[in-house]
Amino acid sequence: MTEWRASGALARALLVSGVGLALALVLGRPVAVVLVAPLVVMGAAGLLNKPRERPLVLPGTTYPVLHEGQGTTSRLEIEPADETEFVTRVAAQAEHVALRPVSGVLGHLVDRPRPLHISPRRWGQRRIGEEKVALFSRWAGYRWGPVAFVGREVSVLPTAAAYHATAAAPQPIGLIGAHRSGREGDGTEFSSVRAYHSGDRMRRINWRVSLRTGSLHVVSTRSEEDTALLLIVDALADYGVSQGVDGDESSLDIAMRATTAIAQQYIRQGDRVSLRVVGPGAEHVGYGSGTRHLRRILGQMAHTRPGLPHDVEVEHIDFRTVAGTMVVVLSPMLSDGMATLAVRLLRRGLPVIVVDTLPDDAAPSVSTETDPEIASLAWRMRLIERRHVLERLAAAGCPIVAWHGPRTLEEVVRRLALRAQLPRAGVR
Amino acid sequence: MIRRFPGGGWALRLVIFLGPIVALLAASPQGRTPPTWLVVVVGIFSFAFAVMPEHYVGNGALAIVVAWWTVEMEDGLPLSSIAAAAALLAAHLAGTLASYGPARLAPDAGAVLLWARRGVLVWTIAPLTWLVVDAEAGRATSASYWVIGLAAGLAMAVLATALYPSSGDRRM
Repeated sequence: MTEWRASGALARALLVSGVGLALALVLGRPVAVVLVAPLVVMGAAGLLNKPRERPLVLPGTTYPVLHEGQGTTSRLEIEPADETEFVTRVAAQAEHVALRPVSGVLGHLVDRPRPLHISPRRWGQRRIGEEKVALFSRWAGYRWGPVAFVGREVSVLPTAAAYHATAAAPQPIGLIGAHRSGREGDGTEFSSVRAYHSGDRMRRINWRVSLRTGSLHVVSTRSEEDTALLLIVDALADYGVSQGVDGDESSLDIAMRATTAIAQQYIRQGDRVSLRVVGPGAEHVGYGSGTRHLRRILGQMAHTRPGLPHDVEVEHIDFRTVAGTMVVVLSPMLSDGMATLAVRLLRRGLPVIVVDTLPDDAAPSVSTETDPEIASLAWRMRLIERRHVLERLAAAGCPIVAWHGPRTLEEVVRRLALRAQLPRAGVR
Repeated sequence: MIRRFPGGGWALRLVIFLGPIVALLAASPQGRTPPTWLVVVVGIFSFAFAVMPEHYVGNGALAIVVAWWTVEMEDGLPLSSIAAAAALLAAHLAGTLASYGPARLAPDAGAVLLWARRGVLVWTIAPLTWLVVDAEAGRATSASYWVIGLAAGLAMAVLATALYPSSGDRRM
């Protein structure tokens, strides 16, 4: 660590004082004494207030986990504080981290602290609180630092607008839950009026129908069950420009915020949700429900980085789905592997929804050596291929929707639920 | 770098730049107008001081002004020397505030107020000194200035030795 050193102000006061006094002595002219007298006092005050102890500076931020757009303050504890008069802090500018003051430079008297506000603007792992700190003694005679502090890594979780969906899941097969089941049971949703069977409850008897028909009839209801939801996030690449929570969104931004919204919604209504990120980190969270599980999912999402998986081909990833699981694939669908993966799940009889996360203004980032016209042509060809893939997926029975906010899935899920109730013809 | 100064930073730099020049020109009412080349030299030093307040170039700007006054005022002690002392002190204090951090640092209102109060208090030494010297003007001799100066120099040296960081401190 550094130590207290004479400041430039002290050196200036002493040097100019010395020059003035020396000239006054040599030439015998008192005018120099009048000119430098205040500087002599300044220099003496600076010297007399030399700190005796090496300071202990402890910077810190309040929260280890933040949501994008949330803010925290970076505080500074100084021991002993009575020998220090002024603090200068220069916070490092980091990508997708907003500071207030915007310049990240802050100076204040020790006894009148001013907070340094930090707000991560995009999900992910962000380093905040990285700064340089300098202290000045009383009368600015001595300076300590600047000393660099590395800050800390915080998980910035994606945010999503909360909403409450009303559409039931297509194939709920759990034990208890909020979705209308295909089976009859103890629920509230009317199913039919049928003849009384042994074991039916007395309170289910419909007396009006029973009197009219002359035999006992009961009202049957559908049971209510929970569902399993698998969220597959395509992190093979990030298309478009990300400007944080209140700016333009990249494909991965859309995917993360959409995943958050869907996970929040289904976990809130008691369903089991699983997450699988197709990317280099292969972030995975098994099926579960509850607030703690939601935090685990969001925490894993904050670690996501775009890139190709290291250990497995996209087409061969095993998602360990069970019957009745609803699958939501969030992808810009610019990878053949993701399309293959969706078709594979579809062929297993699972309801699969593709949420198209490609931003409207997405364009590839090309190197300066590449001819822009060729890059533009290649991109247009890629988009045509993508359109064909999406058309084939839709023809195979996989709904594709562009993400337009938390209610995007509602209509699609409702249609899937209706389709699941239709009688099916088996093919042998 | 200049573009990055915040609003208050510009004000500080203006005081730093103008302080030595005003101190130099303060002798004009006594008919002691400094030569143009000297004003230009001090202006250059002051500009450098304003841009780099933590740099030693600030010493040059202030020292040149003090040296010129001392050389030029062969006889008498003009009252304008108190104004010159105020201008030099203002430049020094503005330089101190500006050297608290990088160019992007906006001056802290509390610190500006604190240093303004200190500046006024410290500046009162100048008129007091002027009064003492003026009162003694008829009786003082060169020898007495030598003695007073030597005593002050010794006191400063003792203070500096006692309070400056020693090599032992650095090893801690």
